[in-house]
Amino acid sequence: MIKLILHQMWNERRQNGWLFLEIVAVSIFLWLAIDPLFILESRRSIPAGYVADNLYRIKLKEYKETHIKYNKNCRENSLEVCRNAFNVVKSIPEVEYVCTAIDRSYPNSGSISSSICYIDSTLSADGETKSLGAVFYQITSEEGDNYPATFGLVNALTGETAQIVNNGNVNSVFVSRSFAMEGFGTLNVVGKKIRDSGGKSELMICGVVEDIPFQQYANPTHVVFHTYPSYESRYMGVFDMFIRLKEGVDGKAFMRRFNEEITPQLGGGNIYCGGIKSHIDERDELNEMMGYGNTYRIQTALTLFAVLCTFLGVVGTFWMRANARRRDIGLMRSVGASSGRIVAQFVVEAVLLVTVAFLVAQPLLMHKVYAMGFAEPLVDFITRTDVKGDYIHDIAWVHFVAVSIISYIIILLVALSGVVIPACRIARILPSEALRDE
Amino acid sequence: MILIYLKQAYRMMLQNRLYSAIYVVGTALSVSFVMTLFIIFYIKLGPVYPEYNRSRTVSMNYITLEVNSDDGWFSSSRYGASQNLCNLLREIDGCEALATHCGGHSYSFTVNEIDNCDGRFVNNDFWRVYDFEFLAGKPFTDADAHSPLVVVSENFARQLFATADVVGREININNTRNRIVGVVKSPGGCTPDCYSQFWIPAAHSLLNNEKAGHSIVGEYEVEILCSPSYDIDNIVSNVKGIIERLASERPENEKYIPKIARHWAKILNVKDEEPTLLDALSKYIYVIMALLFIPALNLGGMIATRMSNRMDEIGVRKSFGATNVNIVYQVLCENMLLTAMGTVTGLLLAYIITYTAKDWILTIFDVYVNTLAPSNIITGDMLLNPTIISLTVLLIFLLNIISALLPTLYSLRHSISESLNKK
Repeated sequence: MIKLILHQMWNERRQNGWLFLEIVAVSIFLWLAIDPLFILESRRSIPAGYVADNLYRIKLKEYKETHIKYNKNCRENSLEVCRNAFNVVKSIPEVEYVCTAIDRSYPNSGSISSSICYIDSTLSADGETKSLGAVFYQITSEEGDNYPATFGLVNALTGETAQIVNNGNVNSVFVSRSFAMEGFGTLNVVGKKIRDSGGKSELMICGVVEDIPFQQYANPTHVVFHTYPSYESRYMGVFDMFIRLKEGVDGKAFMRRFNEEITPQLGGGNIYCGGIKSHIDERDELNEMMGYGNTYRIQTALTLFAVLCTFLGVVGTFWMRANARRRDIGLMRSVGASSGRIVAQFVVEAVLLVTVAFLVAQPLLMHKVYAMGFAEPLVDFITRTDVKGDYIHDIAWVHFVAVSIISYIIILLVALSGVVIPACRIARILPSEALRDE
Repeated sequence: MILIYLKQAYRMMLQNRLYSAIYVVGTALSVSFVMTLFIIFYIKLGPVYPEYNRSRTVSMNYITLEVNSDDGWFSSSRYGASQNLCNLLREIDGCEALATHCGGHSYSFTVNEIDNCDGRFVNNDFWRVYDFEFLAGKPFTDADAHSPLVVVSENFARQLFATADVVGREININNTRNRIVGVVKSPGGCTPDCYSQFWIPAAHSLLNNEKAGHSIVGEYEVEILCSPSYDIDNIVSNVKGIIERLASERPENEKYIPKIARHWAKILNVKDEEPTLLDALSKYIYVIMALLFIPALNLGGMIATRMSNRMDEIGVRKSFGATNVNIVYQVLCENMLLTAMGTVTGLLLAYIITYTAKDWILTIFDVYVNTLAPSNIITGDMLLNPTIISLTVLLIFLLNIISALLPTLYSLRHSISESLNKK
């Protein structure tokens, strides 16, 4: 059968040549369209390291002097107003945990604050003084302010929800798993010390949590949670809060009630509540702002374009070819060929054509990747802070093969769906009917 | 003769519905994608209201100030240009007008108790660089620089007073009363450099100038309208020269890096120092070529198959005296009819896509997307621009002719007897 098919393909080489060229072009186009989507999806599948569901941010704001509602006679203590607001929020029955939200100190906040930490040679994994870049999150551990529980951080040693420790020390830190492993070669680092970028302060590690990418599409990076025992120990202006709602609470209904009943209770003087927003909505807005939404839209549109072109090309070519082969098919049917065999002949023909065309496109794509690299759908500063891991988007050959397999499967499925319809139609024809027409 | 060919083409189209449908859909797909891209780039780069002078505008959106301190501390911040720098830039040869402006979301304006209004502090040249259409009143002048005046957009006037006839009325902007002197046709979010709901004189007391008195950095974004007879690259060099001279008078640990770019370089986020527009557009040109060539190959394949099925018909026509030119002409007429139908369908699709996705489609190639940006106003002259329609139609017809011509010419190489024996 294969010999017959190859013979048939060779006889129709001119018509096949066009389709072959189209599939080569589509293979390259589709591969390039899928590559950025693959990178984004692969990065999105990395565990977040915290629980984004049921997490909400409450904004506290202050009127500027130029604002129409600014009252210049108010000289309130902003920290006291915020602390009162915190206590009001903490007492809401639907709220399970609450914590303060310091700028750049939580995942998907939009920006980061990073610094270098030093580990003495006596403690480091390789016996040398080590410097490690890390994202710094600043958190507080005042009574009732529970950042780890609010975000659902996981203790890397026990696998349970991490607990905050208020030892009254302004130099306590939590570190992430990757920081502990790269810096010390072990997760048992509680009680060990690191030095900050200036080398002046010693920071004592009091916990290790699972890795936490600072944005949804970022690889996990080293994170240090610098814990302040009180609001006074770290200057706090007007701050926002995060709350975690109890399981089973309807988020939308809660937000409605919050806006109507709680918002007026928060603030005072020139400080007011700027509303409540779900963390997932804020994360999605950030992703939109970073252009990921547009990347998905444009790459999906280009993928659909390639898929439609392949489908139309295969359906059109094979439909006309099937009609042109009515006599051959009539003869084959009259000497006993089943309709299944005729369909199989068309299908194998399409599979061979697609496979050879796809293989021809591979060296061109390899050259592209070698010369120009893979797609870069992420903004610069995210990839700059990546800690390379064993993720498939970080291993070049695995990345290439994965995108190639996805592209091949798509083209093959589209080509098969395009060939099966005309093949089934022509295979149903009666031999007498086919031969009479000729 | 053409009429006969067209009638014949029409009948062929009805007889071969699947072939015709695939041909039309394939062409429409290509046209809709290419046209949508052309519309996006036209709106972002071409002369649209009120930025009709984009081709001869040079922008300086910010100046990065890097400071290295003795103890290794380093900082990098972005600022606008100072009033002093703007005054010097205005004297450059070839500077026809210099607009200085600032505002947007960094300023929170409350107008008549409506929060978060978009306002912009502008100088008088702003009205020369940007060609706003005044529906009533006129822009403020040099003499009005310190007066509490305001120009409002038509939409904002209607939002405040339910009418556009508001010249002479007063509005309260952040606790100061401002008299409306003009109403302009509303710009959309697709012209972010000049978009606003209202514009007030740059010397207004509400402008909080934190770097006042600095010789280089300050609050203002700068747009230089270059005279048509001057070389824009020379003007850019002169701007850089002035900043370098001013920087040499500042402390040594301060480094000033201005972001100066022509409109297209700014929009396309060009990082290279001196690329051409073609370099900047090259990656998009590859995409457009793929969008054109893949369907053309598709059509070529179908036409090749179809021509091999029509060999007997060609043999009969040849035996009755038809020349190769006659046959090519007939095949081209058939294809032109289908191409025309596909092109019209594709253009309509492109307009539907652009209009329905107008809130995000113009940012589709942006590295950072301003999610708070005002909605875009897509007008008829943006969609029905004759140049981009002609270019799209020309490209499609050219490629479809080539994809029809190659298989047709190949099939005509056979003699009459060969063609008839094919059956």
